[in-house]
Amino acid sequence: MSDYSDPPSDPYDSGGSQDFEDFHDNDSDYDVPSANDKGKKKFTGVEHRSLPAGRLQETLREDINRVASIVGLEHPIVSILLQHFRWNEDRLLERFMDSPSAVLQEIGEPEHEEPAHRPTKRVKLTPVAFTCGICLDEPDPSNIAKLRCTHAFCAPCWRMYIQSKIVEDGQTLFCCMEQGCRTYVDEPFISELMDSSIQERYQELLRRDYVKANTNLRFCPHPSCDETVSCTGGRGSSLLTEVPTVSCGKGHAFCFGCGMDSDHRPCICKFVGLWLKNAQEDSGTAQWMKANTRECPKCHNAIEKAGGCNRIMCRNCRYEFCWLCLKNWGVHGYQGDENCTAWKELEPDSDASEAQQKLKKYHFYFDRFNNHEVSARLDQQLCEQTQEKMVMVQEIGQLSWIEAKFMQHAVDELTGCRRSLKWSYAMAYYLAPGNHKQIFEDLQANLETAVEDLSQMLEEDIEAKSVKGLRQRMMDKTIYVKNRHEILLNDTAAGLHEARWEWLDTP
Amino acid sequence: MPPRSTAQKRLLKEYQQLARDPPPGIVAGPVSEDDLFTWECLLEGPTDTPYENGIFPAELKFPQDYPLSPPSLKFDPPLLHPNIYADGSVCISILHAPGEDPNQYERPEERWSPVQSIEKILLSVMSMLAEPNPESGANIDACKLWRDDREEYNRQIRAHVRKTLGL
Repeated sequence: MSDYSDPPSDPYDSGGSQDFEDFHDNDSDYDVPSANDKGKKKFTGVEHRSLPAGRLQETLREDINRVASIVGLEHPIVSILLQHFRWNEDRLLERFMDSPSAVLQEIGEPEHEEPAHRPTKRVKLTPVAFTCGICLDEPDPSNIAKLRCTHAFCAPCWRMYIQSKIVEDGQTLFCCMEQGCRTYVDEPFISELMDSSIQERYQELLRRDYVKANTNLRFCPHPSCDETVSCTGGRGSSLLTEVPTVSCGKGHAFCFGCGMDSDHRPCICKFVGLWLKNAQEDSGTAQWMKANTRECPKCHNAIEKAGGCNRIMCRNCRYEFCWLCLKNWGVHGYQGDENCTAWKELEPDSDASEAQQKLKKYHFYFDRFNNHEVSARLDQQLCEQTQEKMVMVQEIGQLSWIEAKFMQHAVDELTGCRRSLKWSYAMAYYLAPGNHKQIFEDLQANLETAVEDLSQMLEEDIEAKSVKGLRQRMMDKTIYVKNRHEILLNDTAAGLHEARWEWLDTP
Repeated sequence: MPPRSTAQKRLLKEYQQLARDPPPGIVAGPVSEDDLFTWECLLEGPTDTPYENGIFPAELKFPQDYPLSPPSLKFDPPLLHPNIYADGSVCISILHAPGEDPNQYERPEERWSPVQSIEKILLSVMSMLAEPNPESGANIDACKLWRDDREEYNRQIRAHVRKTLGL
């Protein structure tokens, strides 16, 4: 069965379900119904396709060719035009049809009498002493390069300039070196002067510029992956009603909406951003400050009350005040035998208790979010540890290699579920209380219980005589967990689609 | 002699040219033969300005990738002028590479390009002394003084000139 040696595709798209169906067909141990419920409309996944690096380059070239055939200019000039117009073909064509000369003037293109010119050429100058304006040397005439604008400098100076622009500044669109000249250096000129590594870098920058300007394209964010995903949705306001999870040709799942390098369903991009920002800024600390400190009434320094006495002296400005009524210690009447008039107002102000409440809520959800992140790692570790045992079991002939794979399947499913559970807590944090939230939390709890059960099975001892039974139980549980997982994802996706969820403005 | 970089070759050539045909009111050259990247300059105050009769020392510092990037120029001691920072650094468009524009006032064609030269920089600084550009001010106090109380501005500069000449 080749399915398992393939790189894992997005486990939640229909392809992933297909894998499991094959598994089912070929293995009679499975008598649970397939997880793929075909009766219902699915809300998982958006339409997308992945382009390998070479294909992206072709797409870019095709765009240039198409525009070139319309405007009737040389390809290098069209490439410059498209870059100048941020690859907005429509705007470029509209402007160009209005007035070609104005557009060419805008990009600093020199006027040529001959329409059929080669965009760049090295010219042989007559041996009238030529001094390069950069290095002030008098180079050999064969070593002089002239751009379309007819400004000539020696080749080493051009190389130094082009290299610094491409390698250090990361630019693909830069002007001639001459003072005030706005003619862009074109691609053939670069190819002629520079070695292949610089040319490759130039192409890479061009692709990057192209993808960045094109809202339907996004690079796979996984490290050292060179795939690009093309997707027509997943931008703008649709991000409030869907989580456009896509996977590149190498099987890396990521969010097309926010570019996060992982599947963050069911939580929408907006709240993922907020959540991560919260966690990063450790806004918990800010909340804690609010809940446990008071400001000095004079200098507004935050003070935490560490001891019992209500007489507080601000370390910052040495102002003395009463912790309870925040009045000046000297005048508020606590001196001598008099009681503080504010003594009875023991309740902390509502601001502080509200903050305390918020902090508790944040911690509640963050603990659970964090717990799943940690657990997913532990599950993986546990699986690696048991791999050795599985090999042993295989050796004594209890299970075939493919039969021994069940544990990895369970862990893969667990990892996916824990990722969704993690984000479901972030989502729950932002959900307004109500029936819908209740239902959401029930689904979440169901999945969580199943996930924990499955996770526990990973810890069971593997004995030669009981391994078949364990395998059966784990496979059943895996299917069940997968089912619960899909239900949770489908229901939240449907909820987003129907705008069923109500969000808190300020959780 | 060790092989010289483009920057060193170019600086040497510019130095030879400046020494052969110095523009009026400008003396400039490397501090030492060993370090071509630091130059000392003496600029004469333009006539019919409060800077007249003054001799102003300044230091030019060149980056390793000169002439791709512009040098920086710093008057030492600092000079009261709307386009000179309090520490003496000069802020004019020719010393800014295209692309970076701290004050958003400059046209790309006024900025640094590798075909500019030290001589052009120093000439620009001379004309800057004569005609401050308060729109892209570097020293706000000097800008205000120049705009609101020209007499006091002139007086302070003349006092500075006299002091530096030891009068």
